[in-house]
Amino acid sequence: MEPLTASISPSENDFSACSGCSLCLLPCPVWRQKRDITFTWQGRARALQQGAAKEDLRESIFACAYCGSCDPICPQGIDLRGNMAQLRGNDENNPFAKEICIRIEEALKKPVNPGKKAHTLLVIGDNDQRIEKIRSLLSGKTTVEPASDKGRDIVLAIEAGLEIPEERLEAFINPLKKAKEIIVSNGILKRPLKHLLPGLKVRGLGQVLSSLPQIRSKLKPTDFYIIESRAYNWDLQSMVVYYDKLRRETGAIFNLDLNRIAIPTTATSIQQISGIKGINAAEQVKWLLEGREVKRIVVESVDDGEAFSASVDIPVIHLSDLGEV
Amino acid sequence: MEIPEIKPGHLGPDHVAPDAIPFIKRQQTNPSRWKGDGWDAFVAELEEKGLEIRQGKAAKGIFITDAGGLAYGLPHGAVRAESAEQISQLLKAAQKHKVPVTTRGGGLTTEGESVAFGGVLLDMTGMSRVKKVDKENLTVRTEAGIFWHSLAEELRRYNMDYLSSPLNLTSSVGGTLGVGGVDVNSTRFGCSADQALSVEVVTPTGEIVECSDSVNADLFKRVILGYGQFGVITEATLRIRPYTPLKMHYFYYSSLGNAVKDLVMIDKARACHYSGILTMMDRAITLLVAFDSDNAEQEFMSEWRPKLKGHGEAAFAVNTALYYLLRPWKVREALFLYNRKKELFPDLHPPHHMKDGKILDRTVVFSRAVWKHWGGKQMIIPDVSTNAEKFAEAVEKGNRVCKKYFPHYTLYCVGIRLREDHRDHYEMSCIPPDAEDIAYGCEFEPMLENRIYSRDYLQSFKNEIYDMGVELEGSYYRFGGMMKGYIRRVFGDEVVDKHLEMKKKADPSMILNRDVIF
Repeated sequence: MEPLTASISPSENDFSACSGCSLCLLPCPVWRQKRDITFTWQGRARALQQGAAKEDLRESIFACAYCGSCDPICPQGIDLRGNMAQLRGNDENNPFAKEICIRIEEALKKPVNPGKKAHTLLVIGDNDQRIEKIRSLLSGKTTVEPASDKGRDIVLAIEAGLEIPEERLEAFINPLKKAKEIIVSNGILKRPLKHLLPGLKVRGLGQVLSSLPQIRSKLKPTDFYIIESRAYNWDLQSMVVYYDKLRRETGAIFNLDLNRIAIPTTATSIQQISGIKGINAAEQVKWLLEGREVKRIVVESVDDGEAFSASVDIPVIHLSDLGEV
Repeated sequence: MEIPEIKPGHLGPDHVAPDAIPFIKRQQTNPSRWKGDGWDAFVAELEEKGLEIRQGKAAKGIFITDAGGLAYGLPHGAVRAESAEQISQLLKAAQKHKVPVTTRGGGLTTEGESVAFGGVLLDMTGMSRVKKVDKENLTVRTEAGIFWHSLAEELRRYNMDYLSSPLNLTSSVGGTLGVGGVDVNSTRFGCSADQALSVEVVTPTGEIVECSDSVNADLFKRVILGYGQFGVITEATLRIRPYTPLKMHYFYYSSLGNAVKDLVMIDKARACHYSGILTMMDRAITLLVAFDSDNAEQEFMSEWRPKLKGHGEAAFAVNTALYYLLRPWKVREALFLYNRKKELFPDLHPPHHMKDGKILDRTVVFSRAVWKHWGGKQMIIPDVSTNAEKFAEAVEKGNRVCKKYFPHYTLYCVGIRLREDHRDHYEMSCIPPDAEDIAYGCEFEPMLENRIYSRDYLQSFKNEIYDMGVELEGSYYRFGGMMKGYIRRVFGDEVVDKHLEMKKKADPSMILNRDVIF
């Protein structure tokens, strides 16, 4: 089976096409906090054009939040995600490798659970209570079940640019083949799953929940709606249309910048999970709220919700909770 | 071949750049690389003071060229700006050790002005935070390394906007204040440099000084539009205004002369809020007018629209189709125009940036369109600025030069409303000395389209445009760097020597942005 990371399709344009326009800096959360061009794609690309070695770029490469903000904005169409995965994957001193290998090995030790057969499978890394709530919200004409494998190690491996053992990948993918639709909570899985399961519909949890009338109708103009940035930024062309409609209908404020890129909290980034010093999610939350008057924060991702709850007194609610408000 | 070297702080009498006139010997255009005398002692002193200077290949390589992509040079080391105090220490040490310091914001110069040929590259983007948005007094205080786009992003949170900025929004505020900064609303608000109420400057000798029209006014005069010769702008207080979406109208012309006449007419009458001309060669000539309010739009459409010679889109399409039907040998050009329109126009009206026919985010729409449709690793954009009377002639002449060199090109013309109280700022700047009330500028931008042109070919093109500026006794929206040989020709010895003397006094070791102007 084809490695999952290889499914992040390489672009015709690599770093050598960078013209130094600086557009990739504009939405970058790492740039916003560090104000250091060496930590941006422009800095990396220009340095690579000048023959920079791995050692020169290591700190920068592993500081990237992999939020996908820069990718859709590059006017040269450079595949920034793919390039980043390659750079990380090709580094034998990848600081995330050890932790992720342990997780993958642990996952492999578990017996393969074929899971339940259903029209829709949820690849959602939340607690059982939330998954059940989401399941009941989505169950109607079709059957909805949680996937037997949440694929947390796979999400991390993709972000770290590591190859996933074929055995592990098959264990994750095969049960999903039974479904007609896959719903993922971490947008990082959207594109690889679409690639590996071409006949299936793959959508982000936020998009699915916010399209439910009982949830959509409860969004208010004073709500600050936090889109899960990876699901959105990595599929910008279609997502911008969907969320623009949602914004116009509800009047809610969204975590979109002037470029209509979703500003991440970075709470789901590998640095936060691995305990490696990354950017400060609290500072990112502060920036998201700057100049905004909001009464409630509605999140698509539980991790984003936690980042807000830890920093502000404003009520934070998961999108699925709106179904019962 | 003998290429005489230009010494720092000296502008020789022979101002002719390569290929400008046949049979005249070449003169150096890029400065020779600073040889590094005293570098180690300089670095040791900085490190003792706790200043980080990056000397690795990767850190320096980022800054090897600018948006022009014709000038290449590496610094000995790069410093990321962090504070005025840090820059002060850097400049004091640089004066002492005679180390050149080149400042860089967005790096969007096109003649190598932000490329360091040795010495220190001071990356100002490290200082890019907004300090305070004052909605009551309609001002913003910001660090000067911020990009205009990032400033717009923060201002929008407060439902505010800047007044005018360069079309390309990854220009930095500090760099723009030193050069000018023009956009389709410069005819209404003047250039960006005229929006600065006060600035914090680190002088070439390391003093940190706040200056404005009333405090340290002489320094303010020199720093604004001063090409970074008299200090590093570290912070600025700018005028701002409440944010408004804008309604854009396009009128199409087949004659450059008519389009220019109409532009000058509506600007003089202050008939619209935004105006400019954008062309595809001299076949698809578009007069852009835009409005912040419905009333202004209605007034324009009833009073001024009938006076314009431009057509609506449908009439223009019919005229153009007829033109090319009668000239079948120009089918390639027709196809180019058709494809260009098909690609460009949707990007000027993306649905998610529009509401009720108005553009919500012009900062994004225009800047992204510029990079997507005109950007590349080389950007050749010579320009000329003149007074209103000479402007049509400048555009026509420049158009002929473009046609001679390139199959496809764009002309972009806008005006700058002048501030009478800032006359002193305009000496030896992008504002032509004889301009009154409004100055005009035209950028002449070939579309390189992956064709490979020799550096000399591109330089010859630029020289013909620049020569025209001399001939018309105008100026340039961007001068310096590789085209500094034109400075004496266009401004005259008296003015140049006066500024050179001021520079020598302010910067005894001639370290700050050496070779950009002097």
